[in-house]
Amino acid sequence: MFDELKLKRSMEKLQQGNDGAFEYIYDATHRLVYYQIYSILKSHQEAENIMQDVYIKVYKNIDKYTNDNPRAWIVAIARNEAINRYHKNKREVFMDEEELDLFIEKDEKTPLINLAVKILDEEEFLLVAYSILEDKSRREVAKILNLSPSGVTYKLNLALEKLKKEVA
Amino acid sequence: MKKLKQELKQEAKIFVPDIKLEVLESVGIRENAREKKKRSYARILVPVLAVFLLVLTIPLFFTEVNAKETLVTLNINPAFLIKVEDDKVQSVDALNDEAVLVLYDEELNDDLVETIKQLVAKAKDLGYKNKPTITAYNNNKKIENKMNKHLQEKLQNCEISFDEKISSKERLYQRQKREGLDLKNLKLEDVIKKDNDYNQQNLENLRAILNQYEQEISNLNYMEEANNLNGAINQFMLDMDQAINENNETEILRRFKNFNNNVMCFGNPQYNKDEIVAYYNENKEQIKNYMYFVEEETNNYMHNMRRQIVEYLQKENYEVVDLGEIVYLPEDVTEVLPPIEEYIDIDFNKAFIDQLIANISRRMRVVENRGHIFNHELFFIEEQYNILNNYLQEHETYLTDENVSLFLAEYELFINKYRR
Repeated sequence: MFDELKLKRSMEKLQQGNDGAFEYIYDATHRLVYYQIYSILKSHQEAENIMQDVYIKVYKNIDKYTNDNPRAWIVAIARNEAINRYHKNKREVFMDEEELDLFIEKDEKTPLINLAVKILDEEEFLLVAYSILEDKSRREVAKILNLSPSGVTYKLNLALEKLKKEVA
Repeated sequence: MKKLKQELKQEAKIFVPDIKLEVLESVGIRENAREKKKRSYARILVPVLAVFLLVLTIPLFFTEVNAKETLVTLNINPAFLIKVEDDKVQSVDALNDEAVLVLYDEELNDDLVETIKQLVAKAKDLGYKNKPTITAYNNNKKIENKMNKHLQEKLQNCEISFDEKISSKERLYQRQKREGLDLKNLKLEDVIKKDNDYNQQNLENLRAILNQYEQEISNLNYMEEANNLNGAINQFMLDMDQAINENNETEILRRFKNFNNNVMCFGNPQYNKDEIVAYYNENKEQIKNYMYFVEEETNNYMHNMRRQIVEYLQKENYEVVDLGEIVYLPEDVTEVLPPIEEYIDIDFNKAFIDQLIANISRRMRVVENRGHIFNHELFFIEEQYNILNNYLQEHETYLTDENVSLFLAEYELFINKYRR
């Protein structure tokens, strides 16, 4: 799995101009980033586009990374980008039929996650995504979402109960 | 629940797409995969065609390439591409963001040596201490050598190194293209301007703001203490629910007594199983809320503190780069602050006031339902009210807010009734 220390080192390397480190940063964070974007935009097509923008921003702004929590920093950029897109989304989005079919097909294969996105709020969904789907520890999730570990446990239980009730 | 988790994990495998190749391409780290594939087809064909074309176009090369045009690269970390023709500077392009900053507002003349000296001096002023490296390139080796020699002579007192080799003009242009530098469209605001002006006094002022808020946060010791006990509350509820489900009287009494004595005082109820269960069930929501509002309250203070710091920095003419919701502060300042992620799209004053009112009202309702107040509750409510009141004095416009005025009237009645 991807460890925190290696991620921090990769951020530093990228800051020093070692582009090779970027690949690891992407590998270690892209799943978290995708869940964050999807929880706001609820569209695979939009989420894929934004995910690309997020990493361009991460790459271009790597010099501005100063805190000690790379995952939270990247996820915050993702959230910001997704919210911006959400507000701009009034305009029409064109998609060719083939592409549309692909996304519909994908939706059909992930009914539970789609249900979770629908009935849970952003934070609850991310708790489920990070803790259950990505198997992150409570401590890691707490750090990314700026919660206390006990808060993660408590809120995660509530979210899962909610989901279970809906499935039943 | 286990089945649900397993099914979710199964779906997660296909839920997140991997667009690594596109991402790496878009930041210029990896070349386009399609082109790569195409090139493998063309691996044999291209050299053959190239030789053929070369034979045909050799005469064109000799006539079209301007032997007088020389390219000079200057690299101090900010990197420049200087185009020289007839010994005169035709253009100076930035090859990275740092160079844009150096070129900003800089008037350059057409003398190459003067231009280089000027750029090196400006970069030095901005804090770049690397030894500059210069390479001249010309298709005509004689001209290239002559130019390098000329620059070495003229710049010999400037501690400049001449050892970098650039293989071709095209490589430079490709790099410029890859880095996506469009000088006309690049906004200077996108680049953090390093401001060396902040001094000890500024940092001390910032520390004072920080301390003031930390003081206020720690003044809410009641809340902070409870915040630390979130885990205990959570555990207590799980244990109590289990004990009630199992109808385990000893456990119910033990858990409740322990919790009442050590965590959250419900007063001194009779330790009778049925009463405790009834009391617990009745107050369950309140216990849950207790966990949340403590966290929310502390977060509000943190947000407010960061907002004030940003305002202070802007007032002091710092460059605080605003990237959407995230605000980046100058490096030296961040050393004394926690990680900065400031959400600026919210009316913080209103949010803060509403939050305080919600917290106090929630507690007031519990007291009203019960019909009497405990000391710690009175302490909490008055403490919160004082914060609210001070805040409203500083932000008088919110006094006319309907929510605020209704609350103040309600609070007046409440406190007269319950204050001893």
